[in-house]
Amino acid sequence: MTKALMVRPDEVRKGFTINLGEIKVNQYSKTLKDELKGKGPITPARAMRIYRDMVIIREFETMLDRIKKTQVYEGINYMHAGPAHLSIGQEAAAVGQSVHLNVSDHLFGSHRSHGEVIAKGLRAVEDLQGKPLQALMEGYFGGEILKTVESHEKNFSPLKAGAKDALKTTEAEELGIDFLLYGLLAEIFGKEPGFNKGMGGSMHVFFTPFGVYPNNALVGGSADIATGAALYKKVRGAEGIAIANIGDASLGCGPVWEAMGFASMAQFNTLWEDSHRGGMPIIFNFMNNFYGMGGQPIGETMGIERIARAGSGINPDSMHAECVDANNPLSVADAYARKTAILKEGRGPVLLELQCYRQTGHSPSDQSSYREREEIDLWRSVDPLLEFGRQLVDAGLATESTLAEVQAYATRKVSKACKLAADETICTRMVLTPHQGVSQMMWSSEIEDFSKTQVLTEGVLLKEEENPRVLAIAKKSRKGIDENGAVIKGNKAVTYGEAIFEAVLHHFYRDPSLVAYGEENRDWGGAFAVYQGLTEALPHYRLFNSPISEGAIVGTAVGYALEGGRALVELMYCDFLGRAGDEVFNQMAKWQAMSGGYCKLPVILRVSVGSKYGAQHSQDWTALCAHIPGLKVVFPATPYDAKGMMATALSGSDPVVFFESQRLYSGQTEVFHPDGVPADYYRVPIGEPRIVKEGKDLTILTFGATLYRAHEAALELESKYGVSVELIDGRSLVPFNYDVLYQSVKKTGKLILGSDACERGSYLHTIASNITQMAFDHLDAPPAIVAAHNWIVPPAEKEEDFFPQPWWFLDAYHTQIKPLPGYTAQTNRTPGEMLFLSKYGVA
Amino acid sequence: MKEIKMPQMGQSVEEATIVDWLKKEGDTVAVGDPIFTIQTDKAEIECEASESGVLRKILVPAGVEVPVFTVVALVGDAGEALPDLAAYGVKGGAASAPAPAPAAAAVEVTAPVAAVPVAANAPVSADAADRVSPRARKAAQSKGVPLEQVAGSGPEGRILSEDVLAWAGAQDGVRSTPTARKIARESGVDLTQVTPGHGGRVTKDDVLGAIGSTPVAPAASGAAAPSLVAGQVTPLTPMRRIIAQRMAESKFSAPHFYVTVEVDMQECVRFRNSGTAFKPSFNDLIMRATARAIQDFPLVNSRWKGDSVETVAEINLGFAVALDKGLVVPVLKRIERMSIQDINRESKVLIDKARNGKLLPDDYSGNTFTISNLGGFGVDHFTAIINQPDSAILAIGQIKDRVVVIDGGICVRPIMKLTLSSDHRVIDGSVAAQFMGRLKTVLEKADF
Repeated sequence: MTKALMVRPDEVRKGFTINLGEIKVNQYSKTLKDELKGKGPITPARAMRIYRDMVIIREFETMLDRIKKTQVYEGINYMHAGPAHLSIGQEAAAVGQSVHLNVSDHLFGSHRSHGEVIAKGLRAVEDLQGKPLQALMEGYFGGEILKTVESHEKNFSPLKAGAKDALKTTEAEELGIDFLLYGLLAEIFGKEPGFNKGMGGSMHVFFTPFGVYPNNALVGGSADIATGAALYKKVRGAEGIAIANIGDASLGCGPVWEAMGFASMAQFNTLWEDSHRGGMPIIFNFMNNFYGMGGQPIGETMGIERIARAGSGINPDSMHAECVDANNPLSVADAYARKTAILKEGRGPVLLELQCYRQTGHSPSDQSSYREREEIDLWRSVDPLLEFGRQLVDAGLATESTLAEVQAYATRKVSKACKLAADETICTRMVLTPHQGVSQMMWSSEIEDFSKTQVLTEGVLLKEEENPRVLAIAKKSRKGIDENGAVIKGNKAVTYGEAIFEAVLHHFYRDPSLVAYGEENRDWGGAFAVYQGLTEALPHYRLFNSPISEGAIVGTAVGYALEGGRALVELMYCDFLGRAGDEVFNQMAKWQAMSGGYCKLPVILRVSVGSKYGAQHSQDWTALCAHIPGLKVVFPATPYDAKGMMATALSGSDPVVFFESQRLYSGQTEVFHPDGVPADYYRVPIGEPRIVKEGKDLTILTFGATLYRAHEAALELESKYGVSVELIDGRSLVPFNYDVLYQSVKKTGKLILGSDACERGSYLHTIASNITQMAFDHLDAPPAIVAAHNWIVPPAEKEEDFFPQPWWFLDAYHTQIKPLPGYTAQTNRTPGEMLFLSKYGVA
Repeated sequence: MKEIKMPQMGQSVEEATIVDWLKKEGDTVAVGDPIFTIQTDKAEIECEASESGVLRKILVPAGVEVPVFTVVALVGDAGEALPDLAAYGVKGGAASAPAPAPAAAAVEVTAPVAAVPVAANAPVSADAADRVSPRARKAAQSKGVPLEQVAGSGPEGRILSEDVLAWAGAQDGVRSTPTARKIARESGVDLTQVTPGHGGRVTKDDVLGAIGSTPVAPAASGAAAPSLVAGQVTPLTPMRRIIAQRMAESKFSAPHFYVTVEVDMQECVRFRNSGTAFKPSFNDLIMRATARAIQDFPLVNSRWKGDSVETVAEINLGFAVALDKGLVVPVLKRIERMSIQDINRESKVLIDKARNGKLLPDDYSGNTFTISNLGGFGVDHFTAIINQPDSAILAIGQIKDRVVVIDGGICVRPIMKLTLSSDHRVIDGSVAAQFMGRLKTVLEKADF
C-alpha cells in the first residue's frame, strides 16, 4: 500500500527457507554471590531491597487472603465484598521486573497485578524520595492519602537490616511506602481515598505518577493499550518504555496478537522518517504462571511448549523472545537489563516470558480442583522468598534473624495500611448520586481552543495553504444551493467528506500531539477519501496505515491518549465495531471514570455507516455505542456540522465515537445551512440538536443521513397535505440536549423519530420514551418510530424495502398520528401488525 | 334554567338507565332531594338533585339508557321560559324509543338522543370518546371544551388537540357576547348554528332564542310505581333483568357442587358476649372466619378464565343484601386486612347505602368470594348460586339450638349449617371439604 515498497514477482517467487532462529529458555545461571562480585547493578543494598519488596508483596497479599477468607487480619476486622486475585508465589517476577525500571517506564497490568504495582511503586518511591515525592503526594487528589498516613501511627523507625545495614530507609521513603500501601489498599477496598477514588478497585488499580498505568480486567487487555503508550513515546520522543504485563492465557486472545503485530510493523524501519525510525519501545511481558483460571495454555488449551515461541510468528527478530526463570528475581532483573537495552537501541518490540507459579487459587473461591496438591507443594519447596532468603544468607548479607526482622517490618507496614483502609470513619466510600461522585467523572469535558494556535512548522511536510486538496476545494462553492435555489452537486461545492478533511487538516497543523491511523489511511486517503491530501502533508509518524487490527487500532489509541496525546483513529465500516468490541466498550469508554476523574482520554474514533454493501457493511450501530456509559456519540449529517463537530471532537478531552455516512461523503453539499460551510475554522458544540427547518404541526427528529429522506417527506407533507413540519437534526446522541426537542414537541404535539438503525433497541426508542415522560401532556399521539427493519441489510437493489424512505414518514403520520385525507399507506404500521410480527422476532 | 345531569357513579360507569323519576314536572326540588333512581350494570342507585327550583322539564324519561353527564332534566323558576329543547336532542313528534313504562301508565315519551353534540362536527361514539390524546385533554381542560362534543381526527377517531382547538375556534370565530358564549357552552349550543341578531353579533337572547325555538315534546307524567297484583304481568325492571341474566349465566356455565358442614357456634356466642367496647354480629364473625380460611386455601378465591385460573391475591368479600326489588352484593375490599371492628363498621356502611340505593359501582364490584345469609328468614340450610366471577359462594343458615352428642354425652349447642357452592372447573371436592373444615375450626375455636 505504498509506492515506496515494490512487490516484485522475481523476489516473491524466489525459493528459500525461513530460519526461525533460536529462542532461549532459562539460560541464567548466576548466584547472588556471582552478581555481587561483578560491578553490575546488583549491590548488597539492591539485593536486600529485592528481598524486602518481595516480603512486602507477600505480606500484603496474605493480608488480602485472610481478609477475604476470614474477615480478619492481625486483629483488624473487615469484610471485603469485591475481588482479590492474588499472585502469591509470583513475587520474584514482579520485583525482578522493576529492578531496572524508571518512573518514566510505564507498566500496564492485569487483574492479578497487586504485586507489580507494589514492586514498581516501591522502586518509584525510592527513586523519587525527596521533593518530587513530597510534591506528588501533596498534589494527588488534594493530598488526602498523605494526610491520613502522616497523621496516624507516625512512629518512624527506619529499617536497618542486612550486613552493614545494607537496607537503610529514610523517613521520606517510609512515608512514601505508607502512601503507596494505603492508597492501593483503599482502592482495592473501593473507597474514596484510594488511588482511583475507589472506582478502579482490585483488578484495575493504578497510579500514573509512579509509572503504574491501568491494570486491566480483560484478559490481555493491556497488550494494545501498552502498545499505544509505546507509540506515544516513539512519536513524541517521550522517555521510557511501555510494558504490558499479561498472562500466559492471554496468548489465546486475538487483540494480544493484534498488538504484537501492530508493535512490529516493518514501516517503523522502512518508511518512517529518520527522526522516528526504529522499533517500538515495548515489552510484551507474559507472566506465565501456567494457568488461565484453571485451564493450562501449555499442554492443554494451546499448541506451544513455551509462550516465547510466539515471537517467531511476529517478525524476523522473533521479538527477541526469551523465556526466563522468574522464580529468581535475579534472572528476571538480568533479562530486563538486556531487553531494555535492545529497546533503547530501537530494536523493539520484545517478548518476555517470565515463568512463575501461582501458589494460591485464581481467587479466594478457587478450590484448586484442576491441580494436584503435590504440584503446589513442589513449588512451595522452591518458594522465591525462601530461595532468595537463602541466597542472602549464603552471600553473608543476612542472617535468619535479619530475614525475620524484614518480615516483622512488612507486617507492621501492611497492618498500618489495613487498619486505616478498614476504618469506616477515616476511609469512606464515594457518595453516588446523579449529581455527585462518579457521575461527575464520566467526562473531563475540556475544550482546548485551536482557533488561534500557532501553525506548526515541525511534523508537517508542506504549507497548509499549499496542500493540493486545499487548492482544489478553494475552487468550489462553499454553499450547496445556488442563487436560484438549485442544489449544487459535489463536484462543484464543498462536500461532507471535504468538510471533515478541513477540520482534520486544521488540527494537524496546530496540535503536535495529534496522530491519525487506521486501515488504508495513508496513500489511499482512507477508504472513502476523507484523508486525500493528508499523505502529502504529514510524515508517516503522524499518519500511517495500521494492520487490519480493529482491536489494536482502538486499543493503541486509548494508550496513546492515556499518555497525553490525541488520537484520531478510523474503523472504516461501522460494522467492524464488533472486532473492536472490548476496546470501544470496555477500554475507551471506561478509563476516565475508572481513574476517578484523573485521566483524560481524547480518542476520536471515526466509523462510517455503509450503504449498498449488504448485511456486514451497511449497519448503523449508534445504539450500541450510546448504550455504553462513557462514550460521546455523534452523527453529523451535514457538511457544516461534520466540520464543526470534528473540530470540537479534536479539541476535546473525551472519547468520541464519530459516526459518518457513506451516502454523504462525496455527494452531499451544504443545503441546510444557508451560508454554506465556512472556509474558516469553527466549532459546533457536541450535544445540541439543531432545528433544520421550523414548522408548527409535526416534529421530525432524525440521526444521520436519514435527515435527507425526512426532509423529502416534510416537503411532501407540507405541499400536499398542509402539515407544517419542524425538522430537527439530532447531530449528537450522547450527550443530547432534550430541551430543543421538548420545546418543539410542546409546540407541535406530534413527533416522528427517524434513523437508519434497526428498530429493535434503537436509540430512537430511548428518546421516544424520555420525551413521553417529559412531555406526555403535550402529545397528541405516541411518538412514532421510523427505523430500518429488524432484518439483515439486503442487497443494494432492495435497500428501499429495508431503510426508511420518505414515504415511511408519511405512512407513520397517516397510521399512527393523524390520517391524511386521500392517502394510502404503503407499509403496515398498525399496532396489530406489531403484535403479529413480535411473535416472529422481527418486530 | 339549570341542568340536572346523569351522574357518573363510579369510575367504570359510562352509561346508566333512569329507572324511576321520583319527582314529576312541576314539583319543587331542593339540592339533595332524591329526584330519580338509576340502574347501572349491577345496582340501582338513588340520585339527588344538584340544583334547586321547579322541575320544569324531564328530558330523559325512565327506561332510557344515556351516557353519563347527559343533561336529563331542567330546573328553573316556575315562570321562566323553557330553552330550545332541540339543544338537548329533544325532537317534536311521536316517540320512537322503546318505553318500558309501567303498564298502568303508558305514556308517550320523546327519544332523547344521548349526548348528541350540537356542534357541526360529526358525533362520536362513546368508545371513540375514550381515545383522547393527552394534549387534547389538556387543551379541552384549559379551553373548557366538552370533549364529548368533539369529533376526533386521529387514528380510530382519537381526539387530537387540533380537534379541540378547531371546535373552540369555530365557537370563538362567531362574533358573540361573553354571556352568549357562556350560555352556549353550558347548554351545548353550537354558536355557529345560531342566527345573530342586531349588528351581526350573537347575543344572549339569540342563544336563548335558539334554545327555545325547538318544539317541545309533550311531557310524560303520572308514572306511578308498579304495584303487584295477582295475575298481572310485570315488565322486568332493569335490576330484575340483570339478576336473571347473571344467575342463569352462572348456573348454566359453572358446574356447581355443594359441601355442607355443621358448626357448633358456642364459642362464637361466648366471643360475641365477651367484648365490652362493641358487640360484633355473627355475620362479622363469619366473614372474618371466612377470610382466615381463604388465606389457607387461596384456590377458593379464584376466577375461571377459560384457559387459565386466576387465583386472586386480595380477598374481596361480597355479601348479599336483600332489597324489596331484588338483591345487591356490596363488597368488602381486602377483608384479610380488616379487624372484626373494621368489618362491622364497613359492612354497616355498605348495608346502609344498599338499602338507600346509594351504592356506587365501586362498592359492589371486584368481588372474589361471596356469602349469603338467609338465617334471618329462619332458613336452616340452602344452596346458593355462585356470584361470578367468583368460584364459590357460602350459604349460611340460621343458628339454632340442637341436641348433639359430645364425648358420649348429650348436649344442647347452638348449631349453624354452612353450605359451600363451588365451581368444579376450579375447585375440587377435597379442596372444598378442607376449606369448610378449616372454616368450621376457626368458628368453633373462635380463633379469629
